Amino acid sequence: MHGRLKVKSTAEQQEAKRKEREKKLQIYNAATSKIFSKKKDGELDEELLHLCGEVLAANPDFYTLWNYRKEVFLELRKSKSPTELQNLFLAELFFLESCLRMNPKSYGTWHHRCFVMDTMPDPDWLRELELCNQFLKYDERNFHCWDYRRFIVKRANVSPEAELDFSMSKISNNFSNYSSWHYRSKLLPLIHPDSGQPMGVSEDALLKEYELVQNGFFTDPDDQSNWFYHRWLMGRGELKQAVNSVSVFQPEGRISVSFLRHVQVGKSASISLECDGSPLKNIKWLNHENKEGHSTLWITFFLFIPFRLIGVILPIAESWTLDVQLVINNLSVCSAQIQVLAEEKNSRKRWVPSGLSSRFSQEMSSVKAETLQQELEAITQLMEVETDNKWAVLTAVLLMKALDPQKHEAEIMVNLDKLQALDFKRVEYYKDLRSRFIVEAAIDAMDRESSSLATTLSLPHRGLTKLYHSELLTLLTSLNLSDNQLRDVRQFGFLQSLRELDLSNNCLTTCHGLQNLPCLEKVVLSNNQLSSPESLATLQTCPYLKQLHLVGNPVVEQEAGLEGIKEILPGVEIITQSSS
Amino acid sequence: MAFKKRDKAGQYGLINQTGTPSTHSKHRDEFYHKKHAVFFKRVLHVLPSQQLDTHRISVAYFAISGLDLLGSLSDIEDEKENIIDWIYSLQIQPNESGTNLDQCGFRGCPMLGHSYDTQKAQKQQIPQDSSNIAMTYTSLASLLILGDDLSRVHKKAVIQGVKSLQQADGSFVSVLEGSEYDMRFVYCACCISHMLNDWSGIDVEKAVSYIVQSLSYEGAFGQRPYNEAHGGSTFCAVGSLFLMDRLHVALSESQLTALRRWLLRRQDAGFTGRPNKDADTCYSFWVGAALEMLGVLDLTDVTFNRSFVLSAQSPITGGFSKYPNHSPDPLHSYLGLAGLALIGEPSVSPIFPALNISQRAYDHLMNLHRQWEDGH
Repeated sequence: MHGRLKVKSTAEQQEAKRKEREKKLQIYNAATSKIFSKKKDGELDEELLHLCGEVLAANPDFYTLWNYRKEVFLELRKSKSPTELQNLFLAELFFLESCLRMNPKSYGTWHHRCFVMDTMPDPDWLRELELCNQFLKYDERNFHCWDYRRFIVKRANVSPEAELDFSMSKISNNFSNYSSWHYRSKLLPLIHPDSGQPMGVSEDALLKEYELVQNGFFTDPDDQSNWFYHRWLMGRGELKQAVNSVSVFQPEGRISVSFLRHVQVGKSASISLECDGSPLKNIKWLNHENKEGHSTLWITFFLFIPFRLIGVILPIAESWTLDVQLVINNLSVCSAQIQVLAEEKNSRKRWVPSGLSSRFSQEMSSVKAETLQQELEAITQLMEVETDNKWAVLTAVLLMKALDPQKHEAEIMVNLDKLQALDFKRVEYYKDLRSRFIVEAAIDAMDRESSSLATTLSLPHRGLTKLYHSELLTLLTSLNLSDNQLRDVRQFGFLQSLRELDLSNNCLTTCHGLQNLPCLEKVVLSNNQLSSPESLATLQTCPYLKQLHLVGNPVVEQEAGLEGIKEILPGVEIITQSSS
Repeated sequence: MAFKKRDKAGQYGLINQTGTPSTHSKHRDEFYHKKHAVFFKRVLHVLPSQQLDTHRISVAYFAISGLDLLGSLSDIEDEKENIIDWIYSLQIQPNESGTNLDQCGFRGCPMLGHSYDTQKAQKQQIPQDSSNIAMTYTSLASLLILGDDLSRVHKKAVIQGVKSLQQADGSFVSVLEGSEYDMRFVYCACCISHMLNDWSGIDVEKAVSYIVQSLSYEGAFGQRPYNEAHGGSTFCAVGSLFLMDRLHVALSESQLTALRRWLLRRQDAGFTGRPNKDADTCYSFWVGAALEMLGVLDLTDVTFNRSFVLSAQSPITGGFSKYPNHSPDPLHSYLGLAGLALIGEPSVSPIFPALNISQRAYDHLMNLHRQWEDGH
């Protein structure tokens, strides 16, 4: 069905074509009914093979007929001698080859070839490998062929090293060889495994790959495949699960725990709490959306507030210890401990993954750091020569971020602006990426401040299009995002400790996302694009909301709008005048 | 060394030298709404190629859903009942003893002995008859679009049929007798389960594990583990995870970021299916829908995307082709249209990306679900 060029034909040619089609249809119908009646009568013989073959030659996607052929071969296997069988299968392979030449991308044909190779008495695996090479010369992106090649390699026990050499030869011929790079990414962890490393590949092997791919992108800087592969080489492994923060709000008996990775409490996972060593029973956990689905943030409430309970049995303690533990399939995955002071309304603690310069980058040996540093220098030079090569700029940004995001902060921002100009189809994507880096830099700064617990974050006038990593900001009490380009507040539900939120001068059309925030008291939404009371409906889920600033929004320009808001948010002071 | 220019926008005359969209491309702004409706109606009557014989219902689905998106289903109002009957004639009937449930579902066409008479075919029992998972999906989708209430679908039998096709590694084959197994059929299984509101036919954890293992180093999904990432299989993977409600759970934040990035990089005026390949209209849907489900379709350039798709229209016969100056075919015609639906093209109805049917058809499905829950 794909890609046939239009060709004009005369009336005569059209008539001849029509007659040919009629004839083909008759043959087709005759063949399919004969096939069906033979199958029904259990006649699994060579005639059936022949008939199926005729139809399949015209329509290789008629998968039922490939299955019939399979059945015939399995039947013949009972009565024929090995030599006869071998010949039949060889003929089948020849037939399959001719089908493949016409339709190199037919799923059914490749699949049937696997069956033949697996069933014939004496398969010639090396010849198949050569066949694959031929097909790949013709179209090196034919993933059916690559997949078939993997099947052969497995059966023939070709070593991963030999395959790595093969991929190397394909790449030397033509660096723009996605499928080969891809193959290497799968082979390397097999040949040079190192489970301690993020990509599962030993560092030596990885560094050699860096050299290889660099040759690629200096030879042809416009070719995407090299840069993509490089991106993979730079990937970091997943962060281990750990407790990110714990917050105890005593007046309401609320305990919130946030983790670095998603978990679903209830089935095989549970969060246990111990107060001064005694386990707390009957605790039910809900996530930040008040549901039971996967989340990083989990909240529970107490019927009996611990220090009062202790007060009944013992004198009221000045402080007590809360131990939190995540248990999955009866194994403890991570735990944390916090001291709760009786006089403190809200006890909070946050943990930072240790040993990293930034929780958003990875640990690096000095050898790797040196290699990446050299690479950064080389790419910087390339950027001077190839001034409009977006790949070089993007890779430079990634390298800077991996090596030292704090040192290169300004340069990273300049380069992101450059990318918006060079790669204008993805302008919005780069704005988003920029927003992410800004938030990451801010969180890195908060992490470095080990002395005090940062509870305010201020990021006005930064051109932010989105607030990333809100799940790491669960302890913030005050957040200023004024004068940015936010279009929505999705994911703000994680900001469970937030009391004040400044979103003035953004592009919001709805408050959807500001839900179930138990401490939220003041929200400034001046100069946005809220145009109806419904757009503020989510705020009904914030029980302590006292003040809402709405000046400069279409909704307050009409009386009806203001009335509507007062109806859905009674008890909230609506401010529609700007204060000086 | 010669510098290979990959950006097709210049090639299609969509931008001029200063890099701004050009104003004099012939087809750029005009959307041949009426012609496309005519094209789809023609497809319903004449199968474009004999190679599509076994997949007839999927070709019909392209036409039916295409007319739906164009808001032109009323054009086939008088044929609707016939079409619905024809689709039901493709259903494998569970036999009296219930021993053929593994084979149940829908087949692609009346082939190999079935009567062309729809009434007869609906009653006919053929022992070796079995369904094809992709045909079951397109049959159910077509019935929904045509407003049918699925009351004649043997729901439990269909789900049993789906169940019998799942493999040990979590993937699915398309037919009971065996076939290749890959992401396309995982997607079909998820669509069927979602439509019939019955997930007992899928081992969800295994399916999720198969999907996650099919992630390539590029951050997107191949047809199978170890395969190169591809726009079509990525749509199938993302759609499956979305329907199984596991999208933000099976994949970590960094995996989701890498996935979004790979998808966004597919844009080259239109969208390509893999790096270093040409843009093709169908990826405006496959890649666009995946981006929509991941919440970042608004980070793409709508103008270029639209221009490219419209430039692949055939102003004479209607329909869209793979790229400009090729013959239109049902698949690219439907998917080009679906790609336009995603970006809110004015005369095209909104689409529900995960199931690839119009939002209206999806609302009809939700209504049916409510009725089934109430015991109707």
